[in-house]
Amino acid sequence: MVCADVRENISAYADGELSADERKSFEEHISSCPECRKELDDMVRIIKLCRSMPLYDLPEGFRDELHAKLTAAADRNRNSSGAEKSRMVRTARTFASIAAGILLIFLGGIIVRSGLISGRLGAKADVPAEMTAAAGAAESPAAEAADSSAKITDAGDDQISMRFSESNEAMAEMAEAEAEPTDSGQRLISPRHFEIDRSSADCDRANGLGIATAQMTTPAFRTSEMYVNADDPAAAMETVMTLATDNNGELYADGTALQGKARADHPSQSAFGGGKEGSRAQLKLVLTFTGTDFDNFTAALNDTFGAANVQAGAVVAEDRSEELDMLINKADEYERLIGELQENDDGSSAGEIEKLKKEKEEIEGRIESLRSRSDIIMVDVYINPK
Amino acid sequence: MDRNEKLLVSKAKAGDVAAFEQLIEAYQKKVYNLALRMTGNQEDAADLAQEAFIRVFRSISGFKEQSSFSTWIYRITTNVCLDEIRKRKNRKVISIDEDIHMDDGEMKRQIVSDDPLPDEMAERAELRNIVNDAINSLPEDQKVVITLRDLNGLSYEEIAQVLGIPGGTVKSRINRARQALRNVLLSRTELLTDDCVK
Repeated sequence: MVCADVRENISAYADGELSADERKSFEEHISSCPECRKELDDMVRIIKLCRSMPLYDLPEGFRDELHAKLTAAADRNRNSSGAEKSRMVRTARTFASIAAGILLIFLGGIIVRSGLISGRLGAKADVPAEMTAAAGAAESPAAEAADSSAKITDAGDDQISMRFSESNEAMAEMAEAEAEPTDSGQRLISPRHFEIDRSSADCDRANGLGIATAQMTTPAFRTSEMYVNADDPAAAMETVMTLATDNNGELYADGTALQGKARADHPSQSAFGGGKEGSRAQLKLVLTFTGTDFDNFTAALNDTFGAANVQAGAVVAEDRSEELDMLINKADEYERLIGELQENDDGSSAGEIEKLKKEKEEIEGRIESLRSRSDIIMVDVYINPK
Repeated sequence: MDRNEKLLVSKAKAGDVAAFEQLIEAYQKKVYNLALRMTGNQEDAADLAQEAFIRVFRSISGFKEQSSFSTWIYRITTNVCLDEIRKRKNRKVISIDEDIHMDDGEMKRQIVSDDPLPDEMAERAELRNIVNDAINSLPEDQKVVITLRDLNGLSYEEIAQVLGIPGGTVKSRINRARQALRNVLLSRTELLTDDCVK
């Protein structure tokens, strides 16, 4: 070691943070270099001075104040789960059925207007309300394109703009339906990407009443993906979690960390050596943010891990109506199950009921976020070992 | 985490305030002192320390127990403090000039003047003032590593986790901070004599 290297390492040496090899060559140098020896002595004194600094006592009333704040936070938390959630779910369901009804009426009118055979309408009554608009639009070009493409385009345009407010690009794709009916039919069945912001304007154009129905029946999340490279993914995950908390982000109810997805193919894993394989796995967090908070979170990630280690995907808007339907059905099923158990309870099912109630609450929480928070951005954060 | 801490964490996750208070008992003073170092102001430090604990409480259900609880708590504390510091960057920070309660009684904090130091400067209390001021004069990033290291007793790896920076950066930052302290304190050479350092 030369003097410059030694001085770089003085603190780490004094703190016992050098590896055995580094320590050895550090000590070799120190024993033969009086200047560095002096530096080390000074540094040790500085460290002792810093460590001798006493801790200040907590100010008077600190604990009481904190206790009051914690209790308030705990109460708020309790109130926002439980009763309130089930109330919101009931409200959401009422809205959903009203909206579904209105949609069906619209759809009927549109289908008749666009000249589709009335027999079709009967068949569609079985399709879940949330899906009907999409299915209707999808079916028409696929089945009828060959001989009535003009009408279909008309029908598809109306329906989709009312229901999904497609972006301009999607509209353009639909115009191509004449040339490629099957392909565009596929697109219409799963309208994954659309712009929430356009919904009002587009609904307005389609029909005045459409505004309310489309917004209530189209729970949409904006989603994004982020990739973070870190030396220690486990530690980085805590960091990401903290950054998220700092920016009012929340762990999505369903967002369990997918641990243990070992990356055996990753070159650094073998290089890293034994003992720590567990922390070399790819980790995933699912977080939710509102718009500005998300921007702040992204900036914080960049600041913390360095822009080179953070990769952010585009924010896309995604239709979540199917998921919502599924969740509402699931919550119903749980409610039925719990009711049955409670009716026949001889005292032995208390634990089971408790468990089911908890699961139901979780589902209701997800319904709530889907329903009431379509302003949200949900981001999958993947943390990969470097 | 030891078993007791694990148990308390799981109770706190269920919203048990008493368990949470037990869990943070050992950290309250350290978190407060970390905030005090970072803000240089008792009132702010108390507010920010409480804010940090509230945040820890609110987000404990998301705590995956992969890092230690202490690392996580310090991480949130430093973030809360850095946010505050950023917010008031344009406001002038007035350093404390009031009575401070200390472990070993009460002392009057003094503004250190440029006058030659009196002989009794070697007294412990005065010495602390000087070291305190020297630490306070460090840039934010150096102040926080020095505090986490020497006041909170964290290892380099733990500091890296708390701040989300590479271990090598921790090492060089601590070294730079101490070099800076040395340069400040060297002007008061008497401080670096053996009898001053116990």
